[in-house]
Amino acid sequence: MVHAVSDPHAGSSPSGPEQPMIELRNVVKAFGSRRAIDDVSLRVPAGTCYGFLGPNGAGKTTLIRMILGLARPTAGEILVRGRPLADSAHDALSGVGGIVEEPIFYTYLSGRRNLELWARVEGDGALDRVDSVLERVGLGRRGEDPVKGYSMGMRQRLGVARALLPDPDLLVLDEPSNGLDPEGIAEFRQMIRGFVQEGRTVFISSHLLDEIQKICDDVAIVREGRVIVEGPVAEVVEGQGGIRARVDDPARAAALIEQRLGRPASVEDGALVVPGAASDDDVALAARALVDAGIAVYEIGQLNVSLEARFLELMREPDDGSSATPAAGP
Amino acid sequence: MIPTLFRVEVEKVVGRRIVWITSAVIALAMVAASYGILAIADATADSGDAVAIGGGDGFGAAVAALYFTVVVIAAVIGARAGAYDQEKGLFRYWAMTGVPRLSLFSVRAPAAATVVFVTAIPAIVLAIVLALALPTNGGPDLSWGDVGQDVWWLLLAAVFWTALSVAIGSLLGGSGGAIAISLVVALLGDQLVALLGLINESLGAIALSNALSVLRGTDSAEGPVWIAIVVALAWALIPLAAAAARVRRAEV
Repeated sequence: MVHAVSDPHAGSSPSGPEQPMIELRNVVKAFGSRRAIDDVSLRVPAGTCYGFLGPNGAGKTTLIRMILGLARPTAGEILVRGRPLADSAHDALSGVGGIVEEPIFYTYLSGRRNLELWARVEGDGALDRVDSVLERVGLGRRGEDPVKGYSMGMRQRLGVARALLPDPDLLVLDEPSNGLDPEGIAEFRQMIRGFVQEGRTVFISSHLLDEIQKICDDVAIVREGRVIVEGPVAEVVEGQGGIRARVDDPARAAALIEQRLGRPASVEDGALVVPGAASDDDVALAARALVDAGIAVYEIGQLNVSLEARFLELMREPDDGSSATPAAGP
Repeated sequence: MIPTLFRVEVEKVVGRRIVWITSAVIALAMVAASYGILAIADATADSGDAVAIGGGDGFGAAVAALYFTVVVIAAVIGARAGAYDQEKGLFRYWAMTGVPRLSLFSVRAPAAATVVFVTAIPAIVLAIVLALALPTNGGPDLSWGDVGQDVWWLLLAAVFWTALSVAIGSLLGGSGGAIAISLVVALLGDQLVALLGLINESLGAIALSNALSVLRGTDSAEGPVWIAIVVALAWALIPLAAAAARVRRAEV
């Protein structure tokens, strides 16, 4: 279930006994009088895939650049791998790989040569991993080709390969599916889940909401620099489609629900449907009302929506100015 | 870490083969052309007014041509080395390695200057070979002292003009504009500064070309060496310091 709370950390489900891989504490990024990031607090649990969603200009890339130490917050604190970026950026980022905006390379050099340059600077055996990361992203046979001959999808793969060079425990990927064909997207999904199964944490932003729903464990949705929803994907979409019940008299049940709960109800395909977000309590209330009225209830439950539908619904809602609405824990 | 960064920086510059191969060919062509012009001048001179093609005079003419070639190469390679990573968005990926930005920046000028000077070496060798092979026509023979002095001058030109161009590139963050401004500063700005010597002799000493001439150690050069050192370092270090500050603070 997702609902607003005043303290962004209170009841936030990503928090657990372990140190979060990324922690943002009341982070603000202002450009002049405009706040691109406005008092954002997040905790990204280790060993999970965390999706970061928002429309263009919502502040996704700005936040990612701050997490990677490429931009400084105006206020607040960022911890990566448990270390504050402001004080120990080198330690914090030494186990982090990433793609920001788009994967860029020296196009006049081969893919392998590019990786070798970065591997030398990364050190710690990164040079020995060049072959394996090229194979892993499916560029083993094209590694010797100049990058200027690569398609956008191949550059994305090479970007992931570069991100893997330091053998990172955290991958921060900004729109990594750009330029991938459907087959490539499916492969990419498997690759990301593979990283998570290896114990790595993946922080990913994307416009492909269906992919995020399939890949990610947790998600945050940002609008105008503020996180408006945060929580496990299942909880973010849970119950957002309303209530659906199979009963012996759907028409009477619909009238009863409208009367008792004050919510519109209808009959669809022979079942009672109550549209709009519905919590567990709402379902229990509806079930009790139906049973008390002598209506036989064969089946009742919440209707989930796709992440895309939930996202679009949130984007249409008026901005109430609240700073964050994390998902509550169970 | 610095030697590794230096090596990587050199590979980035050298990897763009078309630039340095073209530069090396132009440098060779300039040397060949200077000797060719001397040969034509000798062939067309009246009898008794023979022109020295080879020897010290020929070598001096070739090195003078090579100096301006090195300045131009330094502007192109240096400005590009300074600007490219920021211009293309590559610098953020270097910053993400956790290596301090100042360390990343500190190797740009030395690496580019090394490439510029190495690019000129074949032309220097050609100039020496032709000076030895072509007739002196009564002019002075090539002295190894002069060779050392001239090669030192070219090395100074490569180091200081490249450093200035790297700084301009890093400050502007765009290759095209940086190359243009570097060329204007090197070919016009420096000459204008040198003209200040007409107003006051000491003002002319603040031109980088004049400072490098003093450091070259030729008899004709005037002015104290310490002033030349200060002037040359100021031309390089002040812009580099400004560029370093920008690179350190810039949000990439």
